[in-house]
Amino acid sequence: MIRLAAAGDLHCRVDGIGRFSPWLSRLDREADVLLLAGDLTNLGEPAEAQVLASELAGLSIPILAVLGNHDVHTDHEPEVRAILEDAGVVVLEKEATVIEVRGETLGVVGAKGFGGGFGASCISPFGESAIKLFLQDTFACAEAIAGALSSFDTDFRVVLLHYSPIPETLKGESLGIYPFLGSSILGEPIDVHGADLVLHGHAHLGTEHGVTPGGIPVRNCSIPVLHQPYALYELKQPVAV
Amino acid sequence: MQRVYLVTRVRNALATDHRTGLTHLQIQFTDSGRGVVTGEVASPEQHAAVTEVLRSVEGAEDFLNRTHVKPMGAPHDPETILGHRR
Repeated sequence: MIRLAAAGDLHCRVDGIGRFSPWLSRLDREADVLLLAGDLTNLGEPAEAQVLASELAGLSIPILAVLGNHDVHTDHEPEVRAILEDAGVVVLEKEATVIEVRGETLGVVGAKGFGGGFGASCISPFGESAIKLFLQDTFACAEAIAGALSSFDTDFRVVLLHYSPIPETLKGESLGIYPFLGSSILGEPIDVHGADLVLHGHAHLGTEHGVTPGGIPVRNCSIPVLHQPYALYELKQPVAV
Repeated sequence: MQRVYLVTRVRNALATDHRTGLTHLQIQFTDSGRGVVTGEVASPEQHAAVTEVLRSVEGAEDFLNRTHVKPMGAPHDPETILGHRR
């Protein structure tokens, strides 16, 4: 069994020092790995990343993270990433890593992801260059997810995103902004190659539980959705009969 | 100014102003036509910042700031996710 803690949309601000550390001090006992699903900072300012780094300083478990749209807003993504990495956070952007916990292995592929919409309402890369550019990153994320999931030889496989791969976990948000909250382009490689759990944030007004069309559990672990500092999951192998 | 344009202006201001950086607030109007901003913010400081930003948007100076700070509860018990034995 591997125990995960997950949270998204922390939106750390320079005036928010100490908001999370009281909760995070419990995590070493409750989880084996902490997964952060983007929007770690409010405006993507390095000073905000420093606040989060100091909040996470006492943790000894591995911390894996993806960035969110707020983390790139002020164009300081390299600095934000470097500050978090200096604090021991493994930042995944179309990247994957494998962690071993008590003899079991966990493969995590992470990417911010991007929008595009879902199913019949999914935008196509047609027409203006701006539309093609809009979808370019979503397709690149999907390709990275496919590559990692198809190559993992681990006991468990988790996909960590900021944007959602399914519409179900967006319920509660305005339907008109769904194309900016995620895309089924991200969901397809997950169902094709398989995973045990998908985690995302971004949709503050969304719904916690969902499932891909192929039956893989998806959890919106945005803190405003959870109303708690993180969610806990136990990944277990089914009992062989 | 028509409401649709005012709402767009206010949403853009709340998102891009460094005092707020809030992209998930809702804007509605009362029967008397007064704008109301609702939703969760992280701190009393951010709540105050919403008011400041509203005061700076032409046409939204008298909007009501009904955002609120919701305290976080303790984490729930873990959810069990069964892996796919391969």
